Amino acid sequence: MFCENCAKNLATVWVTKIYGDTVSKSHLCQKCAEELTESLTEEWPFIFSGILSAAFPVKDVFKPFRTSRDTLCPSCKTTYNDFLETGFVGCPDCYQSFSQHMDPLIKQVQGSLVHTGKLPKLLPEEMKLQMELKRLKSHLFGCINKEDYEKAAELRDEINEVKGRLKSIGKL
Amino acid sequence: MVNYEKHPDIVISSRVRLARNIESYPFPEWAGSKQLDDIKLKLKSFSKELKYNFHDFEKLDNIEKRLLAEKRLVSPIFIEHEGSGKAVLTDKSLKTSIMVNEEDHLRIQSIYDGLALEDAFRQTDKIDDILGEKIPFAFSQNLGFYTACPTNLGTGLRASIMMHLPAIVLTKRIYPLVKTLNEKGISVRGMFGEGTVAFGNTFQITNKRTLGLNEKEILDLLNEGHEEVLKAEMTCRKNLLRRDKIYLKDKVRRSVGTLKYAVILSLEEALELFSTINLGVSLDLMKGKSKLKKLRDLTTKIETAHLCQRAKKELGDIEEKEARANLIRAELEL
Repeated sequence: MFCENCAKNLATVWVTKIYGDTVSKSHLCQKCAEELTESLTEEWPFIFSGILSAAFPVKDVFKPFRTSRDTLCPSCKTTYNDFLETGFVGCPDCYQSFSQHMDPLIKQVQGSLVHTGKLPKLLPEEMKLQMELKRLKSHLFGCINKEDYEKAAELRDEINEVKGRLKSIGKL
Repeated sequence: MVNYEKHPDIVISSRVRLARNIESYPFPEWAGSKQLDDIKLKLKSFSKELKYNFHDFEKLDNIEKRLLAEKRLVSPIFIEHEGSGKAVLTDKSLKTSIMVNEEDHLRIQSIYDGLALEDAFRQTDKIDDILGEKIPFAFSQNLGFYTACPTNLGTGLRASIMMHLPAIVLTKRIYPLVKTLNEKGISVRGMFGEGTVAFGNTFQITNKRTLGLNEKEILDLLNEGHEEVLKAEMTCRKNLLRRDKIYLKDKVRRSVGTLKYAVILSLEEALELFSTINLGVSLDLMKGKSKLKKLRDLTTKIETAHLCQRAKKELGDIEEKEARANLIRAELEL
């Protein structure tokens, strides 16, 4: 695609301009995009300080995810559209109830659907065991690749023990 | 490593905030008032163990609420938004607070002067562990700590550094800087946080993502981002001095003049003047290094509720502006 401004170079920069309710998109080359940035900054040097910090409420970020088919969360009785209106989900179960819509939204906003940080102190037993199982299986896979069969055998025993505990709490 | 001892005005403070919610309760926006009061009482029971002061918002008047916001112990949203069960626990040093029933059930926050993200994190992490021993937080393996807004899922950690960037603003380099930082996963906000404007050329840099990164990665991201912003500000200061020294000197001296003689001053104007003076002192365009600490303290003292507290009454708009001008003149001995 060629630059909409000069029509000479390839368009490598996509600019979305939002002014009030109007959204316009342009496809520009690096040079024209830089010139546009310079001219914008000169026109509104201090307004930018205001725009930076979001005259846009967070919930407007979610507007593109509107859907005509609404879903209800049975736990708190709020709907997916309630979330889109307010920017706040009703309860933790909503993430499960609306997962069909929420998962792509979360992927877009956070770039990930997998938590890699701290765990809470009071983790439910089932979750602790599931996470331990995952960790052991991943470790086992690594050992097999490295042909460390002795360690792999130990891990297999540990995995079976964890599976046993999950079975005993009815979660396997 | 950039030496910013010559420019101590650039990095103002570091803040860490953790968002947590209690299992089996709806989030504050959707919960009933009885549920919110339950949560408030649960947290009240920790004030003895933590040796924190407990402030029930329903029992505070407007000035007291605003004071807490001006001391940055609660957010502006907290005092503006009506709702049951609101409270805050604060430590004696007023560095750490736990907001109850803002957007989430709990917001644990710590602010330290200068560059100190690790200290701020250690403090909030400690409180999180103490509360977490007894309170079952809403959590899932994949999405981490559940929060009312998906932008806080995962670690629930928002780390931010408040920075004073007058040269970047004066040389019109703020927009390209924001763009660069956005690409690295850092957003730039005004000095009072999300949805506020940048008074006095002061901005907050903060992590965009909270899920898919661990806590250390988020702190590292902010520390690296801050280095980049620091370098940019120092470069712009050097350029300004080289190109526009006489204009800067003029601007700085006029700012002193205004502070010395103004009868009324709005908060916005006062912070703008402070910004110019900070820049002037750090570029050796005027004397005043010994007054910089006073200037920093004044930034909070000249806010509305602080002035009302000092006057022991609610102040009208003009009264407030006059009180501000007088206080500045007295404190800076102008």
